[in-house]
Amino acid sequence: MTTGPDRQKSIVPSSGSTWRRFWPKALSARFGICLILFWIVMAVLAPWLSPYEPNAQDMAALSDFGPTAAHWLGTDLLGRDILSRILWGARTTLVVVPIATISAFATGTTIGLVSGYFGGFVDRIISGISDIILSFPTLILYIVLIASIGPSMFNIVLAITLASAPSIGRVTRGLTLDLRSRGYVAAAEMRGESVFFTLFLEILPNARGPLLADLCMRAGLAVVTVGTLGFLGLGLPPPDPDWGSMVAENVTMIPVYPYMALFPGLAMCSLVIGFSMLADGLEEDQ
Amino acid sequence: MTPLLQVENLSLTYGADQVVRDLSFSIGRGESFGLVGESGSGKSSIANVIIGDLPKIASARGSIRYDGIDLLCASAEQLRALRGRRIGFVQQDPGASLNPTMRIGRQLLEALEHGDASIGGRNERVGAMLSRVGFENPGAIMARYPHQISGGQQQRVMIAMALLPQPDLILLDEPTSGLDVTVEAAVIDLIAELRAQFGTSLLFISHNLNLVAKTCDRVGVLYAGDLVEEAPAGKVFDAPRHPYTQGLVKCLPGFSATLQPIRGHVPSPQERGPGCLFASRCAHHLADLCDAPVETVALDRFHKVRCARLGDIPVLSREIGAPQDKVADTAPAAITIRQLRKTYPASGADAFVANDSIDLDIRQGEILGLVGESGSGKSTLAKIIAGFDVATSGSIMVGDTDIARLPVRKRSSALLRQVQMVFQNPDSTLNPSHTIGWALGRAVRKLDTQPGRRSALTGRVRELLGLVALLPGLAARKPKALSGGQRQRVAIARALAAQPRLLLADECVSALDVSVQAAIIELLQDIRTRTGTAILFISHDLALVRQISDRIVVLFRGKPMEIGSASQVYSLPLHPYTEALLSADEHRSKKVRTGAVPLAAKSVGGCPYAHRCARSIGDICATQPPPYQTVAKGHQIYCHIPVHELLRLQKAEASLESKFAMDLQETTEGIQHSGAKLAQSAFNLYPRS
Amino acid sequence: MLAFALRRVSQLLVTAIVSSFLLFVVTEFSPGTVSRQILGPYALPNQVALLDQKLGLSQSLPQRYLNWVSILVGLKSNPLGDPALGLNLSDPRGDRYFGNFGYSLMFRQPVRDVLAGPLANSALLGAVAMAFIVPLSLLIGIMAGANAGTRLDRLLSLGSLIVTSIPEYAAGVILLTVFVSYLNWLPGTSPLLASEQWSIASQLVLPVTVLTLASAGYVARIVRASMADTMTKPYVRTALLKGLTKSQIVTRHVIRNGMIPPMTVLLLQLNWLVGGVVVCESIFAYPGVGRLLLQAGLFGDLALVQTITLISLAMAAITQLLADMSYMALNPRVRLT
Repeated sequence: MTTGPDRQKSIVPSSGSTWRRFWPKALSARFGICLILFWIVMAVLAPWLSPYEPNAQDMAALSDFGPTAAHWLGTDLLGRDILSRILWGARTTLVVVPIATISAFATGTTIGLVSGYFGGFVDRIISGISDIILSFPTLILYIVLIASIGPSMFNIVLAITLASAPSIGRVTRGLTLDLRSRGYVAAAEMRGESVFFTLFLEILPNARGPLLADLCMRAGLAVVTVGTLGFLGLGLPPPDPDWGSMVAENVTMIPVYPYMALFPGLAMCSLVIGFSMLADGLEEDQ
Repeated sequence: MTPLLQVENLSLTYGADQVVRDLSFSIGRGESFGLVGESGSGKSSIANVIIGDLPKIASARGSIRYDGIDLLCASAEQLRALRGRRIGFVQQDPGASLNPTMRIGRQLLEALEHGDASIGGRNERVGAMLSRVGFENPGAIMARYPHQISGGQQQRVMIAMALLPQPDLILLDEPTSGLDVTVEAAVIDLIAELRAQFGTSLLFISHNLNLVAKTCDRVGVLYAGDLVEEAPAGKVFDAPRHPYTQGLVKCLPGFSATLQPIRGHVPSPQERGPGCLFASRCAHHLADLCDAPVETVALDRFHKVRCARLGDIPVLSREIGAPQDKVADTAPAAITIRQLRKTYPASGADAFVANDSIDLDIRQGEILGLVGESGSGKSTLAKIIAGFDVATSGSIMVGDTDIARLPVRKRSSALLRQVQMVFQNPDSTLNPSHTIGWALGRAVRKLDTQPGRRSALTGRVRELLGLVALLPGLAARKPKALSGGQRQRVAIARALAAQPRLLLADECVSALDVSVQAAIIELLQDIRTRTGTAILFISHDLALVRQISDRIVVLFRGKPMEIGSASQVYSLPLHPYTEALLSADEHRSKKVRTGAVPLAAKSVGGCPYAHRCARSIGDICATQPPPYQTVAKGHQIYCHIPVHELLRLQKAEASLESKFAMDLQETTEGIQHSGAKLAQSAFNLYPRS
Repeated sequence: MLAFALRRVSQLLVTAIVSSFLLFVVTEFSPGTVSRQILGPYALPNQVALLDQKLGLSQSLPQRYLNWVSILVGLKSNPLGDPALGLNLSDPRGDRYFGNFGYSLMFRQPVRDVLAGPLANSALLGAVAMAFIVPLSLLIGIMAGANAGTRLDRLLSLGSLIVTSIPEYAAGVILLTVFVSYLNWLPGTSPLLASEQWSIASQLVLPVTVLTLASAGYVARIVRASMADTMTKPYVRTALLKGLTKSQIVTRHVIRNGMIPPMTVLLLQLNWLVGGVVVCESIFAYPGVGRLLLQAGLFGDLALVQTITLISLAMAAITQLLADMSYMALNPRVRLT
């Protein structure tokens, strides 16, 4: 019985094109989208934009590593062009990250929906397994897993899925627990809808807001993870560029040639910030 | 003498939305003023603006003078000094209004912090105030946390908190919403009693016209931010002049034979023009006259109406009397419930009994009302019938199938078709991600007996929308574009797609405004006559159940206390519990002890009502299960006391009571406004026998 | 209360046992077995098989897990320590004692001896970092949350968001560039050996800053969200309507209620810190467990990896327990029912 202007406003149907509906209102989300789009464009156009082959060594540059007219962002110790390597590195990141995030989300939302909807025994089993995985510190889990199964793209995707599906599951489970008591879910049950229909057409669409924000946050985390694994030497095998290993290769040179590690580090930061701001803005919009 | 609070030409906007328009009223010292309005009327915003607690986007014009201080111009510090000390406030939802991590005593002491009393003195005052609001052991209450006391007790604490600094004015914003009727009655009594003692002025804000009229000297009726009528309490019921007030009175269950809903909806802030805001729903609307700004007309000193066509509005006429029973005594049972029992495991050795050996027939084509306070197990019963929970033992026969232990997922679609349900909350009954047409189409496809092609499907959806009086164009809309009443209509249409034998309606109108509520009630009755489906109508609102039902079951702690036709139960409430419930609902100066603070004492094997019963005749009540006594054909009570004895007791009390009422009138004459007497007479209109 | 604690402890024990088994299974997947590592890449398959036999590595997985646990709790002696193998591995504590984690093949020493120093170093780093993270994140979170919607709030929230988004190693690189390369105020590496130029304290500054930056922003955001949510509760309005001042309302009514959800996060942050420590130690060449774990992982030193992971699991379990307890202590609804 509370009165307020919001209640009344909702009666008026919202207008606007489809584009408007998907373009977030929060400024931070718009900024985030721009950053992400920037890197997507860079990654797609890397073969045409990058001035050098990512692994080509320029012997002439070995006398002056710092930024020069020939190498805008300088070269690394082997004389490879940093700018080209950053652009190609964006490709690696932007292939692994979406695959890993989508795989983790597909797994996580499914187990979350199932355990939240059925509750009881199923829930206890799923929650128990999730608790066990979550009891490992995330990075340690990655180190142990990758050290055991070896670094490859597939294994990195697998590790990210395994490590983040439980927490996505937890979020989904919480949302499902709330949504499953709604009248429309009961109504679906009373007309004999299948479990699949109830989960994916009645419950999931109404959890999309928070899940989408979570997805963006997880994508940001996946960028960090891929980079961190690269940095720790557990990422994709060399010599192909990836931002994390570029930092690792050059971190010892920072006191003398800081740019070598700084630029890939900054590239990484901007992409993660893009995802975080998008996630934050989406959350705010709700 | 200048009034204590004087509001003049107050206008309030939230951004571009007008919430309150040109509002004026005043409250004298020791006077109580009520503001009634449905949701969207801006009533809570008025309380907020008085106390100076508004969202940032709000802006107010006009003036609010409190004891000479202009509250709209006052500084933040001045306002803070008034809060608590001079103006008390009791919010809705007492459970959420108390800090869950702080002991009650400390929260109460905070209210006295600004006074000059010593620490010890403050403690004493808190203790004294707690005993005045009805706690027997103030020390124990002070040491508790809010979650350890009941909702009614929490609201008593809130009232004590507001009264402690002895303010001149207390604002009560829906102080009893969410409380059971018996508890509500006790809280209202307490407020009236304390007001008489302290001489505090009250501003009572509620959606419940009944309640406001009982508590206040004068009542203001708000509609979409306009004060459409202001009158002494009694006149609001007896001689309302504004078409909206008249419409509102006709919607109230318990006052006339049939409810007459107000058509249309409250205009949203964007739809509000300069003229009369009720115009779009008013039968007397004249374009030229009503669409221009309307002045308030004073009929006499206390009765003011804002209507341009006041001279042409006829006086209120209504069919006085009780609703007719449409008895379907001979109809065969649609479903048969036998020895139904549901227990939940609880801490300790005893299980919590939600349903206790219920025997009940729901007959074809009847509307069976199920009443009880919260926790009485009425929703549990509905859940078991619907298959969202399973019974511990007993049977529910639908045709030849026992569904008592058959969860909804295991029911065949033939069985699902038999029982359908309309849910309580209009906000969550429809999936916000899908259109109305999708929701109805899905129901038709899964449950309709003649599934047809796609074209037939849309035809059937239109048909269903027509059945609940909605336009076919709504099919393309999503639920958020619909009002609460419209959503509930769609939910009813969805349930009807199956052409069910039984429709369960669990508190399906309790979240709606009275005018909308009346329309849904009318619709349900109409559907029953047109489709012949039986309806189990579950509600805590006795007057409403009386209005719609053919037969009534009164449930207490999972056990039917009284079963009978609507007129039998309401004209002759024999069971002590029914009697208490009805008296609390009517809120006569109560004579029957309602046991407002129930103790945890458990009755072993006896009548579940024994420890709250005012007529309990000793140990037998608590230890032996009473028999069902037949009072008349179809009228049974679950009680040890013989029927004739109950009748004798009631009669004896009635004579005593009328004497008591006269005494009360004499003593309160001085304080109360003359309108209050009229209010009293209005309640006597309520059909009792 | 006691029953709840007992139930929680037993749950944790079950989780610990299952996760240690899981850990064992995962690490046993690694390509090089212990025997292969001892004998080197040129050993013949039958030599490896013989050693496997002697070490009990050819048994079934559950059997090996049982052996491993038995050695750990001191019921069995470690076959690697058998002088007959000629591996020259010996343990000054004897061959059977509680908490026997086996031998590190990388260092050819008992794991306990290898770990002692680095563990203390990492604990120091974690403790100093926590000492900054907790007050800083609480301060920022409470300030932003109590003023939700204001410019101050937006500034603090955005700041924390950006700071948490920066991966630790990137933060390390940025800090190194500024404070080491340009300003030359701080040392670039932190070997924890006091030199003439850099004291031990100065060597801690950058690693602690990196950990604090990454963690404090995250916790501050959670504290802020909870505070802002609490500010809208009806009981806060009750306090306002009593005529209390804003600071009275915040200190008496908001902080305690608003701290209930973040309390758990704050403690679990310890757990997260473990991962941060690994990265941080790698950047600054800090002689801690994190770097050791990484080395052990890359080398394939199973005993060392298992032990470090077990320790972090135990820490996770203890923080979880502490989180539950503090939740109960703060929330009377849980405590008294």
